[in-house]
Amino acid sequence: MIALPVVTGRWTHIACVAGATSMRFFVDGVLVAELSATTSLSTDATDPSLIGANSPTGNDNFIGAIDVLQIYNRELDADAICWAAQP
Amino acid sequence: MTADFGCPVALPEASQVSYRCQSDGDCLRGQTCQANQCATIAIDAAVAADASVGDQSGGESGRDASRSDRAGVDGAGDGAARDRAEHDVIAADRGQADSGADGATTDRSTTGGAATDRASVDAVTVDSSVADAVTVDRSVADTMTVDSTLPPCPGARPGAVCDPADSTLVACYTFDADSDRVGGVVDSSQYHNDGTPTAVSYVAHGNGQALSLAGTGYVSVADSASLDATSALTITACSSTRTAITVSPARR
Repeated sequence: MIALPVVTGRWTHIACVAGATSMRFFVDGVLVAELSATTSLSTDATDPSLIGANSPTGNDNFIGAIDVLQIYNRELDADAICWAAQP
Repeated sequence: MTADFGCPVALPEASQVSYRCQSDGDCLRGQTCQANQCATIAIDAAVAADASVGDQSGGESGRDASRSDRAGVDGAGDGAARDRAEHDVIAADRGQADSGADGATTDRSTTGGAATDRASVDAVTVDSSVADAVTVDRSVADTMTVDSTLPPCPGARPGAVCDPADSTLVACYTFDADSDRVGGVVDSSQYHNDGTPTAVSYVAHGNGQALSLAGTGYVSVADSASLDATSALTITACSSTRTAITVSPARR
């Protein structure tokens, strides 16, 4: 488990890209972490997706603000992430 | 030419120049009027003769113009000094236009040289405008410095934040208070994975609003086939967190 380099209280663009073998994390358009995937993506058909908490329990709640949340069913490349991070 | 270099005096075309002097007073300082043509005192006879030949080929219209100039000076009734002052300007014009014509051109070429010098000064002006352009570049660089917290981003920005035409965008929430929200959280993608909020509030952000969570709230989005990513997934968001964010490779 690693901590992303974000400053609390400051608006920050965060992206997570999950592929077949790895997960990459971007902060303000810059790749800051890449982890090897240990499991495959889940296709659970019944649990809801939660924004701001873990599903399905609703625990581990996020504290802060979220804006412009986007979910893609593909891997965005670094350029696309960088673009998305622009104000 | 005047427009290009900012010259204060419009220079005549070579075909329009045929100035003919009547006396030394019609010429520049250090010149004499020989055969109706101004020439330097030191000029040799051969060159002067050439100048005379050149003068005789001058057109009638130029001669009229010369008389007109003289009339203006004579009408003032002043001495040669004023005449020369006025003819300095005329000669300068002539010198620029007559380069390489005949013997008298020796003098004019000198004047023409002065014109060239003036052009050089004008060129410096052009250079300074380039320096101004550098200043503009520097101001751009300053702007980039202001935005240095964000990395450069190649490629063009494609349209709206939530593009409903993008079939790979399976959910997109701006959390803005548009008419569709009606107590819920609207998904602006083509899949309409709208959410149901619990214990949330909204804060102003940018041109709209952002979802605010105080530690107990969340937004629940019902299961949908469009959200069942099987091979790849990307989640992006702007966030202002009150706590650290940690990540692990575990997936749910």
